[in-house]
Amino acid sequence: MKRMYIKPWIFGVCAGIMFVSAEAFLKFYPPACYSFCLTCHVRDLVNTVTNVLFGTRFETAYLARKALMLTSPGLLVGAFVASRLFGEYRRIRKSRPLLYFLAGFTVMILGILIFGCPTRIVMRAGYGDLYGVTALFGLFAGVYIGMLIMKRLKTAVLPVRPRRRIG
Amino acid sequence: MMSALLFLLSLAVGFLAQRSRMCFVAGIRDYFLVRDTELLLGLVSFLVTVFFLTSLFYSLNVLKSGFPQFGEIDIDTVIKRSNFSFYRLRYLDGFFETTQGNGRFQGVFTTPFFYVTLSGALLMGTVSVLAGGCAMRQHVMFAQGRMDSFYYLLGFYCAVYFYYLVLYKPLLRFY
Repeated sequence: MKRMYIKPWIFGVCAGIMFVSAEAFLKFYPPACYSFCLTCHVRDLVNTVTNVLFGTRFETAYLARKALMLTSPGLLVGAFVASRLFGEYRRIRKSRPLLYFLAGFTVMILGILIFGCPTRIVMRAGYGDLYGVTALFGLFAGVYIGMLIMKRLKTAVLPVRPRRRIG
Repeated sequence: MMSALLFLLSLAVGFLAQRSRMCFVAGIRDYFLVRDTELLLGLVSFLVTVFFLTSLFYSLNVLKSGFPQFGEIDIDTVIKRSNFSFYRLRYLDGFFETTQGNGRFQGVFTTPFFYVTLSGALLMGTVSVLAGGCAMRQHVMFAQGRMDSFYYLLGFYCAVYFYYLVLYKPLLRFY
């Protein structure tokens, strides 16, 4: 199949239209601005399943009562289909599992605290939520700091192991 | 029905995200690092689209979900007698009072949630850069077959239990 590359700005426009119209016409609320968020939806999914299985009462958003939050599995399936369809599926072995585990752990906890993954932070800022704008500024500053650390370590991303010096 | 719609929505988003290699954190990182604006343009266009559409829909009275606030977790589902919901409820009241009385900015900047948001997003950005992408990009990379992202997602799911079993009660004192 022919390679098809979508420009990122097209993704931005399409995703923006989809999320806002999903909330407006498909009624994905009471929590406003909730049509797409990975941390919040994963939190709702896990908590709903736990509540059903063990009878606990972990907090979920109101929308999780009406629907099962299948955002994260859906995203995985969609990306898998796309990568298979265009021949981009390539298995890359693990290099630093523990560090990645801790990274995901931290992002999830912070995401629960501030109500949003980076996607939803941007979306909230677009909705006009001042906390979203605050979080966007925080994200910019954090990325700058992370970039400085990255430059210092001289690695592209975490998986690249520092080479042992010989001699 | 609604879960199916949500699933289809995220399916489409996953497809598009895989095709465009979109990542919200990598866009900012690339701009700071090598002044490459392609991915940042995706972020900005997303922001602008959402801003214009919400403005349009609010003015047309189509979007009835109201303004997003931080106290968006439904209060009924929280255990009612816990301190957490009580504080958050009280907190919301204070927010509205200041909004009506003294203008909006004062209400935002005087709440502790402002500092939580700022520092939390800062740390989240740092960690995301070191992990090589935002949460959405990690999902896409795992679907492409990268096993490091599998451990990222494992941590992602485990952290929910950690938060609610371990961190939830100690955090009540501060939050």
